[in-house]
Amino acid sequence: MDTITKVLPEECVATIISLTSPKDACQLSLVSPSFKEIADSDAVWANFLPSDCEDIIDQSSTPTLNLLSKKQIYAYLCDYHVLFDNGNMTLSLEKATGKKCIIVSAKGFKISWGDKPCYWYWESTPESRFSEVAMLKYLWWLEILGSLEAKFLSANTTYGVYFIFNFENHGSEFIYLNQNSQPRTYGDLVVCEGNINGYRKRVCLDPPGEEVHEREDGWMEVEMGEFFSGDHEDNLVDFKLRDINSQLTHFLVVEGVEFRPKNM
Amino acid sequence: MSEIDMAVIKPEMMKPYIWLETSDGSIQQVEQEIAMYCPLICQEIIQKGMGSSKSCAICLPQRVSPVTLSLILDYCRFHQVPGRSNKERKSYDEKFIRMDTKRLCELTSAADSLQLKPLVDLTSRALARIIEGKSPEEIREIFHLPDDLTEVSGACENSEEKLEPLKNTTDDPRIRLLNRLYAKKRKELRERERLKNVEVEEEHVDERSVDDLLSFINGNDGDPKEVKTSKNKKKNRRKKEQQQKNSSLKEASEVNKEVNGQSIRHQSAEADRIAETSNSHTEDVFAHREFDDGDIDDGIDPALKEKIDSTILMTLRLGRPSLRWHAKREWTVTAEEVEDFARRLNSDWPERMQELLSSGQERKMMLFTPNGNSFLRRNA
Repeated sequence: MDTITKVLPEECVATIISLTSPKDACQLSLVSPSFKEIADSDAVWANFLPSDCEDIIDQSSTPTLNLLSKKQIYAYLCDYHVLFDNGNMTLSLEKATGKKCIIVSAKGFKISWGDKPCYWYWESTPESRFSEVAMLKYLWWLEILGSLEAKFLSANTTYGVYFIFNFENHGSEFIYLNQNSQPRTYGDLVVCEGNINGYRKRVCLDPPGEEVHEREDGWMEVEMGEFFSGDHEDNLVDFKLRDINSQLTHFLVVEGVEFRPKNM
Repeated sequence: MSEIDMAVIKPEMMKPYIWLETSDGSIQQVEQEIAMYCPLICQEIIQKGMGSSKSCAICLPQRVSPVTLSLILDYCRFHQVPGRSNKERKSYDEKFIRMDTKRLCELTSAADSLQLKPLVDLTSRALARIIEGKSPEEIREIFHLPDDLTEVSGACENSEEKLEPLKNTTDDPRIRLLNRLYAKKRKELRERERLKNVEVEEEHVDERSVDDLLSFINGNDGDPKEVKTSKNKKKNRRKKEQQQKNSSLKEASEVNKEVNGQSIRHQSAEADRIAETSNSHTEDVFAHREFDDGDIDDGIDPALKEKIDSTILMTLRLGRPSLRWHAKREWTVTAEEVEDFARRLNSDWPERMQELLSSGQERKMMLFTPNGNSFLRRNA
């Protein structure tokens, strides 16, 4: 019987499979043993991983990850992440497409008055993926700025930008600035890409408004905006959080900002 | 061979030709211009000076058959012309790759051996599009591959052994998934064995309940809103038929009472309940019905139709002396009862058959019996 593996050489089959998707490659490995060998090979899965993935892992806190097969690396990055850039960023992959998801830690932000311990302090908590999170304990002026170079992201993808945070109640240590109405914390969120001014979004962070969602890892997130990462690698994406209401009732704990591909 | 040599030897030739030999040994002449589009051939001509005559024809790689060679040459002939626009080339490419999968594979293989990268890319993408989104079974079908991951070689136990669930002490989700896959595969294998063993069964147990059959005949759905059939075009008609169905059901229950006069008393009460609960029952029963039965009611007198329905009902049961009903209602009809009824009907049966045939009911009746199994499965 004429089978595809007799007609086509392995490299051709590998090329064809690498033109499909990770999910198809997994399905193909169920077809026959010879298909499985090709579909699980590095030749195929190296195409599904981002091109700079190997370098990032080499410079990350877990370079031994590169010793695994490409398929295993892919699987690992879908469920877990690697810390790189001196522990300031994490990389993981979106399962279906292999596009990069980056989380920038609060350490990489410019926080106004962030170095003043009476307002902000930095703490390591086990819930965080980073070594430190920023904790705001006294609100005077809340402004968080950050940026990310587009080269860290996958090209030609629509990304959503999400502010990852949480609130912690530390009891009576708090000073209520305004006791007339129910205390709320609003945030003004802006995302700008390159020279284009993003639109401003006003979201109620505490108590959590509709746009605030709980994440799987226990943190809360709110979408700051979205943008399309074109081909220009040297674009800079800026994001900003500014408080417009000085009624902080709980500690604001800032984990970071996530850039995640949006499925349109 | 230098260009000057060639010019001296063949001054009369406007286009130099070269000779190519394919895998089956046949040799053909091809315009050099076109053949040079393939890097491998180009290499052979320039570096090794082959192909200038029949005796030193370029031996093409084994994967290039005459058929694929002609396809490749067509491709080269089109693309080597410099003046074409990208749009033209793209549109040609799209038409070019329209061929069956096997030929596409052979073409990819041949193009790869000739190092003709643009064609390899084109055909690879076409094959990738074919493979995309398909399940393993579908892919095996496309490429005619045997299912040798779980082949039943000899005893069934062999394959069963391969599919034993793995121990999952750490509750690894991947192992859980694998075990689920094994369970599914075991089930599939068992099903396949069962189907192999069970011979074609003409006689099958009719497990449909009274109202199922009647509603089907009348072409009704319980609740027009519930039905999600994509081919449901005659919803209005079905609403009308609803009333007719109810009256015919009552007829059916009477008929059944007649038949089961000798049987257990509670079953007649069941018949009444059937008529009442028919609506709710048929909702889920017909959620997946695909065929369009709206035209059953064309031109038939309702009273006659009711009679016909019960006749058809009993006709189907003729020859099936024992019936098991829907799990909710245990209802058996004994052989004698059926024969009795059949005798009573037989007198005017030919007449009724005529009526049925003339009003196009025959097709519906045919649908009934052979599709019984699939009908059941849909409702299961």
